[in-house]
Amino acid sequence: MKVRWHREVALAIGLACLPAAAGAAELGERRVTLGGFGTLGAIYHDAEDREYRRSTAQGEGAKASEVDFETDSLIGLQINASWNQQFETVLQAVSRSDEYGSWRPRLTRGFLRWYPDPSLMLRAGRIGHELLPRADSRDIGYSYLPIRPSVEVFGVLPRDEIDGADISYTHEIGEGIGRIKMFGGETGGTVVFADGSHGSLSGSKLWGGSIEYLYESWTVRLSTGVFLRGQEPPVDPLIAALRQAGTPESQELADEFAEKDRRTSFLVFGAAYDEAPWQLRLFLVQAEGDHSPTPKLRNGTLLAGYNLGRATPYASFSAIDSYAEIRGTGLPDTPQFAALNAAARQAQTASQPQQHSFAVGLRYDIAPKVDLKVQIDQVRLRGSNLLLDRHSPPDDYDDMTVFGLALDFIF
Amino acid sequence: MASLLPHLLAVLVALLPGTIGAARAEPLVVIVNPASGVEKLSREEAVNIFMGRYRKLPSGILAFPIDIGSQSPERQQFYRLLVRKDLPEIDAYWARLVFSGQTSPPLQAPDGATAVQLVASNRSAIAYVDRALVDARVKVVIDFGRAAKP
Repeated sequence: MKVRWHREVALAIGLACLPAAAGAAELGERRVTLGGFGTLGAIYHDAEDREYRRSTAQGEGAKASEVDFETDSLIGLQINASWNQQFETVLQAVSRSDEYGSWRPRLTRGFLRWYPDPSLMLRAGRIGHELLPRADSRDIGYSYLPIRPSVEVFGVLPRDEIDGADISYTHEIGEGIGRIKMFGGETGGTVVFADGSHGSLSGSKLWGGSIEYLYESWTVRLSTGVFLRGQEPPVDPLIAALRQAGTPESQELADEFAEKDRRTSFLVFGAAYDEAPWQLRLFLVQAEGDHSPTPKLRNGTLLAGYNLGRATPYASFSAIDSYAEIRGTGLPDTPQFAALNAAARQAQTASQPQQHSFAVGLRYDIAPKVDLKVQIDQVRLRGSNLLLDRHSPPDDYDDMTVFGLALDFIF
Repeated sequence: MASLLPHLLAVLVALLPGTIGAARAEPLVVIVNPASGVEKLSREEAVNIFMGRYRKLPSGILAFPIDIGSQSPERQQFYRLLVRKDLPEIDAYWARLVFSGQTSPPLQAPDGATAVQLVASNRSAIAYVDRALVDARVKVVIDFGRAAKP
């Protein structure tokens, strides 16, 4: 309630501060523009007991043998208000299916941007972060080729924004452009695990930086960041049971689960090539948590598209794999301890997805600022928490095919 | 039949996505304000400015790019010449930058004459227009018509 109140006040203050001379077209004068983006998407698959979703922030997904319109659909509105050539205010709200299946609009951007110099940019407020390359535009379906960004890469982080600040410095290096960026702030959101249980990330901190080099059609980027979880995972009864069990292994596991200072470090490489008619993207991520059950993951995606005028066929491969050791309790797997052993294992595997997918699709630009996409995803997974599986996730690899259709637009 | 072949080829070439913009009669030029301190601009510098990568003129001052319309023939031709991309690709590119909150797109002037007026009255402004609209109030720093000739 308190958080909601702050958001509404921030929005009201932002709107009240908008420049008065809306629509002025002269350079350097105050100018207000209203824009928006949206996707109407449909998903179909027939994998029983499984719900396909595009991120762990979604509490409901596409169910088997039903045409789902909620997973990929969303709408967003944005107001840009330029005060002069140096200052600009941006406000953005997005409505989409969230962790409770609600479509309540959420303030996703609300910041002041300042260009003190052509090389320097500072932003403060609610800003998008780019810990993962282009994560801050993952809701803008019109801006990329596939129906949805790689679930295996972008679906892990529930939010792409922080309440904080960033600073970037751009300079010519050789014949290209170099850019260094640093960001930091508070982030939140909720992770919905495969069994439908929720884990709050409110009060978490995220900071990091990136270096980027743009040369002709190439962009190469290296970024790093640290995510500091603000709340303990909801495993208190499990911690108590492990302490009671009394084995050295169960004690160590209980200490790990009870650790409050949980950091996950990220190292990310991104490369993009845009030279007509080709579009290529390669993103590689390593995420390593320092205390169980935080994740230890390697994920990545490769996308290739070939423009044929209005039509652009594309194909992508994405994968996520966990390299975390699943530790035992030291207790025998007898009926007496079976439930505790299973709960300890479940707590460790809940953040350790193993999944990969191959997608082929076609984007067709049917009108100015409107596209239509059709896509087929072949997904292979084992115990993945990227999808919802309210039953016990299978230990062996399982396959599912997902059919998608989407209409993207901007205005 | 043989005499028809060149005409058919010409029609096919004109229909290719990459050549739609090039069918315009007037060559485009990139113009700046004479007080900007800029004498000439490389294609790569124009890419950096108009694609929002680095908005700085070679003289060191802020660059303020101007587009002509949203779906105008001039805009279509300019981005084909500059980065070999059609307008849907350019619009998709800007959708990412604008709605992620990273930067703003070029200001949109309704027509070439307005773009010339804006450049003539602003030291930082830079725009592309038909060469026929150029007058003494602005300076040409890229001439695509000349650049296209061997």
